[in-house]
Amino acid sequence: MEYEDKLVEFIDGELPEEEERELFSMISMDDSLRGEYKSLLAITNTIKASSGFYAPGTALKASVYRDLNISMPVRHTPAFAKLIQGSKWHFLSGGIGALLATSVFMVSTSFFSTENRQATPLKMNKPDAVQQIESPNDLIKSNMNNIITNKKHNVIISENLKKENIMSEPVPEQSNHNLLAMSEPIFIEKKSIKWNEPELSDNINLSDITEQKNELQLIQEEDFGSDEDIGISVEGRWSTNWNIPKETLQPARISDFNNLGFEIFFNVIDNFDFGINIRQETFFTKYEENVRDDIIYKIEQNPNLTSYGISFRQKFLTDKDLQPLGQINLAVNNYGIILRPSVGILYKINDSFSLVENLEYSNMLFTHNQRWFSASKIGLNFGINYKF
Amino acid sequence: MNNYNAYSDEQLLPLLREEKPVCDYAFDVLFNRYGSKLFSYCLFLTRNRSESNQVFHDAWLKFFLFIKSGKCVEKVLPFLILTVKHLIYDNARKINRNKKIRNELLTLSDWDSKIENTSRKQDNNELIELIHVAVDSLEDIYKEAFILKRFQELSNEEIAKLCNESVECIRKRITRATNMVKKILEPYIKEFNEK
Repeated sequence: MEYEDKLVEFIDGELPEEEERELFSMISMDDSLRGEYKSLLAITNTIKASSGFYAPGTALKASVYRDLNISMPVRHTPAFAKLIQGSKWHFLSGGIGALLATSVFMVSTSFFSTENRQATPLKMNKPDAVQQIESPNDLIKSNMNNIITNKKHNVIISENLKKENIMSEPVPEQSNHNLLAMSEPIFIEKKSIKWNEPELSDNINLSDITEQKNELQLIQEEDFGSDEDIGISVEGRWSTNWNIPKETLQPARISDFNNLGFEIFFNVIDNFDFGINIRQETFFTKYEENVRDDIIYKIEQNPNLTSYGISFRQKFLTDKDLQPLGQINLAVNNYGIILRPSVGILYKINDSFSLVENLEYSNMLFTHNQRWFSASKIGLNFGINYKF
Repeated sequence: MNNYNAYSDEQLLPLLREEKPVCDYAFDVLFNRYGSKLFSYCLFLTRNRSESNQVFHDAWLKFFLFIKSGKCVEKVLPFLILTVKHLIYDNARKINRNKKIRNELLTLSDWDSKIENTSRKQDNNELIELIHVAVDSLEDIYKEAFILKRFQELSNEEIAKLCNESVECIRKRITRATNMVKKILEPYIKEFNEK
């Protein structure tokens, strides 16, 4: 009997440590006491596991809430909303990461393309040490090899070029039909090289080379002389909305001008932009719900939500100051997903700043108590776009 | 919305006096935290679902109005349990139910009909029914101590306050009640274990 009481005290966590050791040694020796312990555990565990067994019914809960004028919060949250709720910071850091990665990608692409442009057209391999060149033929061979590997900018020599006139040994086989680059800008240090310059000039038709040189210089000037944008722009927008359906319950309390959004656009190809955005917005919705068997509640809600999304924007007439645009946006928030097509115009104030105005239709699909609902609105956006 | 579920009772109680929707959220958390425990207590005391519903409903109303009136509650569940006790005793006094309660000791089949039939689905639910019957057969003082300790999970000190007894007395009652329930259920538990 004494140990039975101690078993109860042990299960309640009220048995002193010393007595616990004594009890355990008794349990290990006494089969009947071990059985008692198992029974006790079964009872306490069953009671603990039975908490849901006594849950008050939804009707009872609703009646308590109604009589106290307490609003019943929405219990059900869709799985994807849980994902977002649980990882809001992941989304934010992911967005920032994507932004940085894209910036690095675009800057590096721009940098490498700059390197290539500088390297390819006119730069001919100049020997590292002029003294090592014994004859002009070595230099010709060196530059020929360079040109052979760089076929974009081959310079054609005249067909009547006689090999024996420019070099004492035969030209390699691969160069027999197309290339040799021997012109003034190529050999800047030509004075230090002892060769028969008039002889070379006589044998190479320089007109084509000079023409190509001029053309390439123009391209270079266009590429590096202008203020090229990096293809990223930011946009801030405000909007006014017309909800569908219209508000009937205290409509004056619902502000139509309460949406604010920020978006970063990346220029993917010429007139096509990809954007990531964050937006504070409201969606008005009406629905009916059976709170009790005999009562149907008509519910009107205008929740204030934060949505995260991506956009695809196509611009037209990009050479004009007033550019029409079409856009589609896909966004998610804590309660549902939003699809938002829109059309609008972009007015260029200067090279960096533009005004944006677009008309959009937003439709949010969401679930409540395992049922799907949708909320729609038409919005007119006013925004400012800054291009970097 | 803040995560009010993480708030303690002491943090939530002042929020009940705030404006909507803060007070709604705070109440909802407290209701979900203690609703089941309080309802089980109501069922034990009344042994009648409709009466339990009424008592449960009134207890929450009283609790909410009590807080709204600016008064303080030390512990939420003991307060609600005490309110339920008072409500049941008041009702009993009104309709002279004391005799009726004693005559209404439930049989196992009564429990079957009055507790949700979902209980048949699992062995655990069968065992909980048996525990109900065993508890119901205890003397009132032991029954109350057992229910408050095992189902409502109150501390010995809280039970002592509710019952106007010493902590040591309550501890003995709980131990004795638990052993009595175990004795009654031993053959059934062996059977369950053999399954």
